[in-house]
Amino acid sequence: MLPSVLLFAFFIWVPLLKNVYFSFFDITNYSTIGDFVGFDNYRAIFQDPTFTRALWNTVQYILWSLLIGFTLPMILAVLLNEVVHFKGLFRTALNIPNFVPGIAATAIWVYFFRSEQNGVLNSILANFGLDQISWLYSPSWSAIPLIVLTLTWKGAGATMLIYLAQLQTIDNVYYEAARIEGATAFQRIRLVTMPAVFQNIKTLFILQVIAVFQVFYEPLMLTKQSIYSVSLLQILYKTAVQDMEVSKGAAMGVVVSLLLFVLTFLYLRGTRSKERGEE
Amino acid sequence: MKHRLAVKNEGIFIFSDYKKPSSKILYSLLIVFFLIVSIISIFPPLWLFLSSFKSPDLVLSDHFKLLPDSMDFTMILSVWRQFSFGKYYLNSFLLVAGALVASILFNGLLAYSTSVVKPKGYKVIDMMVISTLMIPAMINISPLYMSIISVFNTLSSWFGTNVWNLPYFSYLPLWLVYGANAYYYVLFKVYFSSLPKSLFEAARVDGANHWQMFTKLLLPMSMPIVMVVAIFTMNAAWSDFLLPSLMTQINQNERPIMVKLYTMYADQMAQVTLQEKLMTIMFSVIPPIVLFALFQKKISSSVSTSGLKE
Repeated sequence: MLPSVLLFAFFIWVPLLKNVYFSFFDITNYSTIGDFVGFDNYRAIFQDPTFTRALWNTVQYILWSLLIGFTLPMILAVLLNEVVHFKGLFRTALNIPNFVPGIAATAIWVYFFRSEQNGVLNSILANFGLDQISWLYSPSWSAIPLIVLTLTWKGAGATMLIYLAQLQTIDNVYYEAARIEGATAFQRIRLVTMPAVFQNIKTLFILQVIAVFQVFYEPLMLTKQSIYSVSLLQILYKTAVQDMEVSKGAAMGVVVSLLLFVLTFLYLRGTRSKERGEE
Repeated sequence: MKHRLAVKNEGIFIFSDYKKPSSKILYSLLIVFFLIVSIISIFPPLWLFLSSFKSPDLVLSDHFKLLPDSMDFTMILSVWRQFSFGKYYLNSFLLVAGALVASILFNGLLAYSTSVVKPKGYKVIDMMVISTLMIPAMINISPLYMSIISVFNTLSSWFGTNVWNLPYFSYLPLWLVYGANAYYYVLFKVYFSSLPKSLFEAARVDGANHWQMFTKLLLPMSMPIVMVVAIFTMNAAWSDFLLPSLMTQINQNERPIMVKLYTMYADQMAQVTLQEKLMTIMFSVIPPIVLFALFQKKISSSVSTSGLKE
């Protein structure tokens, strides 16, 4: 047990605490710790327009991912559960993107979303005689939903499997009863299907929100430093590692950690009942 | 088609619903819908694979053509040699192998102690681990990197030699970081807690020590969850690039393939040809896809049972 605890301490707990400690000092390189500056770093990052912009972008990422990334797997699962032909084939096909490493997938999208005429999507449009589109750059708000779409492409299949497993535990008796009572197809979904997957919906909702906080290399590779899609971790990495402004990066880390702690707490409260049942 | 629908008696719709022609059309639309979704899922990797046979001006051209003019595998081989991908693969495999050992050993041992041994204060440790479940590693990156630097400097003065220059010494933290993963820990813990307690008591009466209990009894009994954690770890370690890129700044020969890929796109100064980029993406995609193909069934069921995605 001791070696494992030491690993957690070295790799997770100590760095987290160091972040808090560093955030009150003036550190601009990787070897020396400067003067105590109180809350100056926090004041500085909240006056930094790119950081506040990244906070606002995160809100947008969350909203779009709830609209696209959160609902799509649910719909896919409910529909696929009704399919009897090629079901295994569809399941496999939809799960493949999850095994394409994130950076590799994003690198492919770089070529798909090229705004020039020779971008993959634009050349497909040209084959159908359609005009080219600038995809990620115009209108300026289009970058975030498109990035969320690439995330959904990768993650939807795996999330769908979680719902699908839950759907298969529904006892058919309930559907029969609803049918005898004369419930329409829509009512059957609302009254039988939805309550059965409600626990999953709650869990995956929080997980989806937390996952969005971790967006980093996707905007970095697709839109570089564009302020319309820059993410919190992107700024944090640039500040702490590339610019070596360790203390400012630490302050940002503390802000993001606090937000995530609150969300984790909510997540654990949502799943506690389930875990107890398993113990 | 009629055949299988005729026995469908579960779900929101059953066979009797499909007697109406309108529902038959709806069902056909559903199949078409999933065909389209499947094509969208497979298309980007398929494009990548086929593009690596094309000449660069055909990959990005004004008119889209999916299929290459010829399937010439010798070209791929020559590119493989030219950019010495073998070296990057070796580094990546080394990274994954070490991560795998650390992940199963350390997370497993911790879960064993909090779910079976339960020493004094185990609840505090458990809570501290779980509270970091959702903190991305990235937030810690600069303080962690600073800690590693100071540990390496201390070790250097102890051994009287610069440890950064020792071959693959910088991989140690890259492996060990997988031994501190709250999510894998939770997966192990939930599974271990479900095993019958009487077994461990019997083993203890027989005089087994903790290490024997863990390696000879617990791990063999927990193969399903060990497989799940193994697959997740392999996938994560293969895709990892951030800490590896920092740790291999000095010894660029030790870079895994994902770091090569990341620096090609993150470093705007990099002079890289389109062909080299595409090949790097393709070579980085192949191993996880092969892994997926081999363990497809296991992966599908593991994702469902663990109730979370990685």
